[in-house]
Amino acid sequence: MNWNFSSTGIETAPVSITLAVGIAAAAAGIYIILKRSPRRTLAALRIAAMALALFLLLQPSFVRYNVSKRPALAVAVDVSDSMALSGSMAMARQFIKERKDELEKNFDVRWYSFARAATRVENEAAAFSARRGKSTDITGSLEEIRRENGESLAGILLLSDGNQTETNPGSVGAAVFPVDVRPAARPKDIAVRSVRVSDFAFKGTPIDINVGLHAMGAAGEVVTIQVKKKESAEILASKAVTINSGDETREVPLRFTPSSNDNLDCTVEALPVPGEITLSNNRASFSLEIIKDKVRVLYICGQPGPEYAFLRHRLKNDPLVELVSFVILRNPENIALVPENDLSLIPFPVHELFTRGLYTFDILILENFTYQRFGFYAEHLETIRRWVMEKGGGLLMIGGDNAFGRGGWAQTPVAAVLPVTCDTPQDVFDEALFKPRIASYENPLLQLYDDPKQNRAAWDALPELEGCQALGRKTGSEVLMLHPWKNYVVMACGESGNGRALALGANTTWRWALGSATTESYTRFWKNVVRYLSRTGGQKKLHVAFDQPEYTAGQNFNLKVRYNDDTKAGLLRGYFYEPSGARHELALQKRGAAEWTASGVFKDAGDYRFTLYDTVDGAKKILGTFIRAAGASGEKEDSALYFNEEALKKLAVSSGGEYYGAGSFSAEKLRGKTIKTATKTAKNSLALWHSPLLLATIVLLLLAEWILKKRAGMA
Amino acid sequence: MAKVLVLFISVFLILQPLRAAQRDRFVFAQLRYDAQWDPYPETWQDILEFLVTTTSIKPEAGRRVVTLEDEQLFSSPFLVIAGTGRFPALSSKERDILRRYCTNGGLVFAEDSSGTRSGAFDVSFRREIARVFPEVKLKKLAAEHPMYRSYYLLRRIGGRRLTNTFLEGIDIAGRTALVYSQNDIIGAWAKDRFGNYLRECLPGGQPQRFEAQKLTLNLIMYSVTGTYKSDAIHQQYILEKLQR
Repeated sequence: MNWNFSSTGIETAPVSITLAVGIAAAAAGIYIILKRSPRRTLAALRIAAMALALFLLLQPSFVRYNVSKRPALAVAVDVSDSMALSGSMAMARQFIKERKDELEKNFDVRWYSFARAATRVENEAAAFSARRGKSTDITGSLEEIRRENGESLAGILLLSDGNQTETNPGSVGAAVFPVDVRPAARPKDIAVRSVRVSDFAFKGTPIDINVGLHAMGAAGEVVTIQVKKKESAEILASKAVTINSGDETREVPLRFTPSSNDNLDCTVEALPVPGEITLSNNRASFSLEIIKDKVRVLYICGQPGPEYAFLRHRLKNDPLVELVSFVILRNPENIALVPENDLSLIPFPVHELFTRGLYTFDILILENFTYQRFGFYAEHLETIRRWVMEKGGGLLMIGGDNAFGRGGWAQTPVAAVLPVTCDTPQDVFDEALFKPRIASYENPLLQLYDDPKQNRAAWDALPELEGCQALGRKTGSEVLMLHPWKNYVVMACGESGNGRALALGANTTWRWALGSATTESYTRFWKNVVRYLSRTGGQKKLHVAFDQPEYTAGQNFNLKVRYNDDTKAGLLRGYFYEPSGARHELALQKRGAAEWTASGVFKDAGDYRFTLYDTVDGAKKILGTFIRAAGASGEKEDSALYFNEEALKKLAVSSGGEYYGAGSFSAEKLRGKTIKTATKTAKNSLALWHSPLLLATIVLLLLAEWILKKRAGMA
Repeated sequence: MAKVLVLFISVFLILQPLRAAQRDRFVFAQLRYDAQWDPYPETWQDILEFLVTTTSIKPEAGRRVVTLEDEQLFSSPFLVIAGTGRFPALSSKERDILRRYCTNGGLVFAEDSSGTRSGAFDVSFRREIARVFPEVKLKKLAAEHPMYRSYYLLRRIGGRRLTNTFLEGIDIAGRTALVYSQNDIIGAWAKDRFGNYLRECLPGGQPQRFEAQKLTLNLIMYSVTGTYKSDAIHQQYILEKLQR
């Protein structure tokens, strides 16, 4: 038993200071008394009383440490399925068999078994014979052990494979000492650990899938990975890979091309190899939304300038757009100072583009472009009109000196589909900076944000445009923006036959990108334009996100739905079918302008089919159907049959413990590590500052001073 | 009072045409900063003349001189930063502005006009750019970069000095937002008042000067067409021409 002096009042050197003051005061007192001076005697008494009072203010106490010869050590044995299946349990059993005496000689050993939760058991035999667990919560179990033992626990010796299947962000609060119990001979197992794939794909365009594969004890085996349709089991992609080592993790790339417009629910399966210990980790699922095709945009610009550079960059960076563009870099009047071979120019393929070629595009953008100088025939112009009216193409004409009437378009068949009346070459091109007057913030083309206030604020914050063509209103078209004082139409849209057309009288929208705090509004505006002109939207309206990538039976789920309906604010509803066929309504709660949440439970293992629908004008419109699979409880254990050394090392470091590799464990070494913890925690203290004796001493010293003063006639 | 009013209106009317609308025209903007920012004050005129003569680009007449805190910076998507001496440390606000300018679509062409390696401008500018873009570094532009093909098919780069055989740049969201040269490309344009080139181009002489002039034009063309010449439709033509 040790007694140490401590003070809780001040952290740094309080005791030594107090003692030094006390000793100095006492020494001074003795010296003064020895001098036999009554005045100095009085001063000495006062100083002694004050020093003692100061000493007590620091709350001194004597601390008694109980240093046990055998500190308490919890031995925690992981009894989850993964330990048994992987062979780690046998290794842990062997470890205890060999080290039990050594442990009990050095420690007061407390035995625990754990999987999802910890249980105190009598001895090691009971620990290993405990019921196997279907899931593992290492952190939670160890925290429970620490709580049960309090601060007397010197540490936790952990015998586990390190695979935690339950989410638990907590910390243990005690030093953890994991031991390497990986099996000498690995059992054979092939596991699909992850599937990396985009959540949408285009019909007719190959999509890449990267399958994360883990193979254990299967060196030299050939494993076949297949991607199948969930419903029909039709094989979409397949690849055979040879496993090179006994413990191998690799990514297997696969590719297939969706051939229909239907969304796909798929499974990825590693076909079983003979002798696998479990097959429940050989599969994974994913869903793909199939988009008809990328929106194909043909962008023709008459003169290089910032508008072209900015809009081209925007369209090129849109994954849903396939852009083909031409910009006129040289006019006939420009001089070539080098041979043609030293120029990067290519001929402008007017005939190819404006006959059949145009029919392969969804959108045509003509920016500051005149047809008059590039060999257009009347038939090419008629093709543009027919492409809009009959094929349903989307035409956008953007202003400039060569656009609309100035570019000679007023007298062409193209003018018939434009949603504005063209200017004439004699009309004044207003060159001033201006903020367009928005005619309708509610129009989907001008909805930068769902929230009306935020949308209006975004438009207000955009920088001014510069220069506007004198365009006029056209019957049947919708005016979206007007020039604030000239009343020219800045932007208008309209339907033309099967197609749509949009007119923009200014080619300075690049200012919205460069001059704003971010390019967000500019990007949203042009996305809206592409959506409008292509009709398809080209964008995913319905986004569903679950709170976990995988579920097992019995788990709750939370899902978030984003539904961007650009036509009407519909009423979103949903339901789901259990594997047994029982139907349940989804209790969707509206959380924002376009956001809903819902929750529920996957009661049994199997596929759950969710359906979301909208009820616009009383009619039910199915928005999407998707499947989520819930694995059988214990499947997570089966999918984690490798020894997770990295996780165990992390746990050791974060808790202040140490990881013991194969053969490096020694109970004495462990005791050396834990003894400090034990000394610090097992304390018993005697508080001096509570002592009535010392308080009485102060009173007596002051009383003595007062009596002496009185006697000496100094009071 | 009437005289003052007439004078005011006259001055206003005289000055009005000077502010011609820029609209979608190319603007040659140059950064003014607190040091030797303008080593070649007249070269922009020859550059713009060359541009108008040989390409369809319509530039705004005149050079626009801006500071980083000037509102006009955000009306000028192409910005030249040149210097021979130490580039001053930017304030936190100026760094944010330069970063926003490049991120939102602006293109900076920066040049150490001393034409030397590790000169005062080079060291200080690199340090400052590392502060503006801590997450990305200046890197060599590949020989296939669209800037070397945006108008002229360049097989080598020029400049008043051949300090480097490459340009460097910083890429943001799929485009090069800052181009850096140590070859004094703008210096290759400098002329005296009689029209004679002011400084010799070494070691390649006049051909090296012409390469610098073509590169200047390609830089400007890149600023208004972006990665246009990387499109698949151009590749076959360009490869065939380069092989001739």
